[in-house]
Amino acid sequence: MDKPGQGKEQIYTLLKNTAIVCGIFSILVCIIILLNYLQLRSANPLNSLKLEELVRLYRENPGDEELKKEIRELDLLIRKAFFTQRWHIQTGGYLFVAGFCLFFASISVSRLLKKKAPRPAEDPAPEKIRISRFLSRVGISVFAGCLFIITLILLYSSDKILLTPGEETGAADISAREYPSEEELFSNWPSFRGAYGNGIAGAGEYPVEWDGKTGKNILWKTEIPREGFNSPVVWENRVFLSGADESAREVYCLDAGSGTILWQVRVDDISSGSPDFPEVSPDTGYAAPGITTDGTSVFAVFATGILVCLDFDGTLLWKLDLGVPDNMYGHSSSLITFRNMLYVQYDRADKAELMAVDTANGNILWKTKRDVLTSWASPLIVKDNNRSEVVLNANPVVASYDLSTGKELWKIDCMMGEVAPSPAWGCGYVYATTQFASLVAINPETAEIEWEYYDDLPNVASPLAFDPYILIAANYGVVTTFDCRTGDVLWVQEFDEGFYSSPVYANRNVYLLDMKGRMNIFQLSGEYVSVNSPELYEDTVTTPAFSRGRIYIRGKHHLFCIGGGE
Amino acid sequence: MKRMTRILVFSAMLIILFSALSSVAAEDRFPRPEFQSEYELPSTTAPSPQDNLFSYIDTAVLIILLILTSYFALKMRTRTGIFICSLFSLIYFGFWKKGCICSIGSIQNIALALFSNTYVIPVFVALFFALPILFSLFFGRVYCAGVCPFGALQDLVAIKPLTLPRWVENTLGIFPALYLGLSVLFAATGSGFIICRFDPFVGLFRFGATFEMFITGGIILLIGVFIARPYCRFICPYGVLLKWASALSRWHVTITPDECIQCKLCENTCPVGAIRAPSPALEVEKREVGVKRLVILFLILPFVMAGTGLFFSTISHVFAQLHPQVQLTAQVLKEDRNITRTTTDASDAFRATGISLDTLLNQTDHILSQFHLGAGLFGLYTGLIIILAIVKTSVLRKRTGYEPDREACVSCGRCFEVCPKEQVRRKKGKEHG
Amino acid sequence: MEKNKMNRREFFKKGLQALFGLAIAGTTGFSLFKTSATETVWQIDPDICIQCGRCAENCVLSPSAVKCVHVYSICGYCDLCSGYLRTDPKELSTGAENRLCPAGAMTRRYVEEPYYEYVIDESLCIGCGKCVKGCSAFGNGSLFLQIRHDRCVNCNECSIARECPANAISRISSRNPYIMKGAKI
Repeated sequence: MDKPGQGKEQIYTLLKNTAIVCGIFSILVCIIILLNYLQLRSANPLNSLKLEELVRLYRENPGDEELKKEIRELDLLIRKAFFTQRWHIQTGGYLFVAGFCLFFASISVSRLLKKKAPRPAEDPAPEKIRISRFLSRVGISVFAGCLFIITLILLYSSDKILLTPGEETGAADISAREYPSEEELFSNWPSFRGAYGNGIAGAGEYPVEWDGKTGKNILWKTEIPREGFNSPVVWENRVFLSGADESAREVYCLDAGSGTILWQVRVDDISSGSPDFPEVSPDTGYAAPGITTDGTSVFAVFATGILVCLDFDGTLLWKLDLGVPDNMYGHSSSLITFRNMLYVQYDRADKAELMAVDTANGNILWKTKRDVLTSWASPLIVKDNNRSEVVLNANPVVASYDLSTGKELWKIDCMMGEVAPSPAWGCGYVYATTQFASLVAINPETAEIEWEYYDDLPNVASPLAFDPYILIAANYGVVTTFDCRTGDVLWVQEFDEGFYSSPVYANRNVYLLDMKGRMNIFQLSGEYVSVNSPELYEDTVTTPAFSRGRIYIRGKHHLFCIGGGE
Repeated sequence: MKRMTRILVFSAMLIILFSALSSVAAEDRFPRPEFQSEYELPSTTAPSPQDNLFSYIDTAVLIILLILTSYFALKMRTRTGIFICSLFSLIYFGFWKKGCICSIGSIQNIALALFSNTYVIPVFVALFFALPILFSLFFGRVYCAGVCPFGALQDLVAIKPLTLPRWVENTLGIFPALYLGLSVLFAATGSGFIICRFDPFVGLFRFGATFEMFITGGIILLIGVFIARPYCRFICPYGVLLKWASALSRWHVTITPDECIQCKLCENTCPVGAIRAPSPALEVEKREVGVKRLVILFLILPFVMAGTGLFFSTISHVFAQLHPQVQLTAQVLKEDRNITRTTTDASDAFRATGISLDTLLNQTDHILSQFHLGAGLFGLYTGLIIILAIVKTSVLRKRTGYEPDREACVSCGRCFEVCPKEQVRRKKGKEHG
Repeated sequence: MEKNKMNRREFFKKGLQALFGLAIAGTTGFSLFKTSATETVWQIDPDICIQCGRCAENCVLSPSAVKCVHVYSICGYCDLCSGYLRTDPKELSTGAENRLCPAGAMTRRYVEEPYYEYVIDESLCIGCGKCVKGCSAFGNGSLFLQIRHDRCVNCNECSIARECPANAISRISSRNPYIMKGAKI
């Protein structure tokens, strides 16, 4: 150890004394700051009870000059104290930091001066190492155990309200409401593929001749502001459809007589900049799901998972955020209602379910979990004297649920791939199909497949069933017609263009719109008899709407209304 | 008298307006005046935030400090250089830049950016996250030594560091890894940045924090006088990443510039207890015992991980409670079910928006399912960390001389000058110079 | 044999090193897809703000970086200002018994009959939002709270945003760092 010289010793003492002084100084400043801090907390002018009390008193005796003076003095005092204390704390903070720095600096330097020679460490004895390692293992285990115990305590004291379901909501008096009759449903076109989603128009004469170029029989043609692959729906003198892009989602209402847009309502949902904004493929878009109406309100859902209900004047009645669906192309299952319930087929990649929403208030009445992959098909309602169910098509099952309770009635494992065609109902069978699987005729009584067919299957267009026929239209233009009971092929016809639009039966004819805007009209019979094939000269992928002798076709940009023809 | 009538008129107007036109946009309640006099509308000031340029400067300072510290620690072997770097960083990143953004907190920005579709981070934040780790992968924890303002502050106050028993260090040492997991879980689910929330020192840098945080910071600094760098060793989640990188680092500081002569002088100089003695000549324990323990540990590893994973995912709602929206939903449900009669500002604000309860419940469901998955993953990670910590106490690395433990060493350079070989080197350097 | 073992260990270490490096680079790189050239700052959306008063208490700065801002173009210049005076004042005087602002940060100046100008002294304002509440409830809403960027230190997690019951505070682009009311006028 080398001895420090006289000067060094003096510096050392000086530093040591500085350190002591600075230390005491810092501690004092620190205490003053703490006191000030606590005082500031209690003497905040924001909640000076005394002042408030005086003001209240003054209100009761407005003329009291004495009181007024007191209030003004107190107010000034409080404000002064507040800002002075702030200043104290601020200045104190700087003083403290300065003192603190000096303290540590002098201590560090003094230690440098009186540096002790390094001490050699002890020999690492194997026994010691072993004990230390043993203790480490015990320590880690105990520590981990303590953390688990803390978690358990937190669990015990945690709020479990989110885990306990509340009482059933939505038990509103549904008997008091009035619902449209079956006749009304068929004379209108309330949803994608008409009443019950089965592709069959109500009775009436429908035009078979028109021309998009000359305008023959085209009553009106209106440009739709935003694109959408949903099909128009019609109720009396109103036509509804929706359109959307990345920036906005909108619902449109057009006058069926003139084609003017009566209203368009923007649905305030998540903006394209917000979390989880979905990505969709361009051929699906943000407005692929068909909208629907129950005769008093109109319901629309978008790829963003926002479900809205508007009345016929465009006023928002309720809105439901279903959560952004995990869907690689974009959600596209259409909506459909029956009595008080709106059915939403919400088959997402992460969670598939069918839900029924109360049309009156947007309460979810029930949800049924489904064990299927993402589906782009739409629900079909089967309603007659014997059956009352909603049928859904998805990979891998075609399944049916009770209309009022959502209980699963039957399911058949027969689909594969990406399912977009919706099921159809006729001759007592449910028909379902998709490309790469098969066309199946399912007897819902026995829940068995009656017959199956494997060629020229559609990948988007839904089958059309009308006793005693069923026909399918492949996306590459091949149409096949079968005997609906036996599955015998009656005829196969190849067309120039393919089909995304679903065939519709109206007035003994089948109307089948190809992708280029040509309407193939042919008889629904045992052989192929073409009636006409008028052109629209605008690309088409949606299914037309048929109501009261008029046909409404949504092209890429316009909505056409076709009528007359006599 | 005239004044009184005006008050009356105004009051009447107010009442009428308030009752009848409450739906009208507030901006239209009173017409804007048309001034007769030469009155000019004052403009509202809008002081602009700090220029983006400063973040480039910060990044440049970060890089320069990292390079300098690496150079001082590995090449020059000078404690003074490292100390000056750390002092500069304390003043610049700490007191001048007020501690935001720092690499420790940037973990959360990265985690949130990875899991949220819309959260974007400025480029310099990504650099603040990645650069110290990359440097650590090449040179060891030089960031801790000379660049981190937290490290610098604690290094300053470490006057009389005591040596903690190794088992205490090993035990407490698993906490930072768990803290890292938790902070990623909470950041990724959008519940908040817990590292920032429980940051003990940033309040000192800003001269402003909650009272509790001031006290916590003060206590940690006081502890830091006797136990060097308590935050770095037993709390810092970023240190965990640096530790892992440093364990694999290409180069690392050495105690001696030469071969160790086993003089044992250095071991007590390390404030963070990172110097490891050479392996003892005698066997610490029988080989079979150690091997058997390792085999058992690796066999139970999947079961422990599955167990902790399952445990945390089943109780994930405990974690989810930290999410503000989950709290809001719980409050709204309580009000709806008449469990509580007092409303909160948050629930009032929610009801004022007119969003339906179902929407809120749906969103909350989504958050809860995220937590279900996230907590499960956190559980798997926790199991792995605990078992690996025990594994580490069961393997013995062969050392021929005194070496720094690459994970624990923060490259502060205090051990250099006690090494006799280093003294020789310095003397030689002086003679040559 | 021994040398072989060392080599294997070296190889293993190199592999891990590369893996770790790649993991960090990957994570950062992936998050870089979401980087923005413009930086972001915290700001209050005055349309969502409910004037609960937490801004005054929760900022890490003291006094808070949140201040009341006055956009004169939407102000009605009322004599009976519901942002300046307590509700139902006994007289339209500027005395403490009628004044709403607890910090005395708002001053009133006569312009011409019947208009008065209201000016906020930012060095006194503590961001409690009492005047904002009064102005939005009964007035034109020309007073509102904003985070002032000459004061705000732009914390990674804003401690007011964390406490805001209405979620009115979020990060916005630093190019447009204020959400001013009446921008459309």
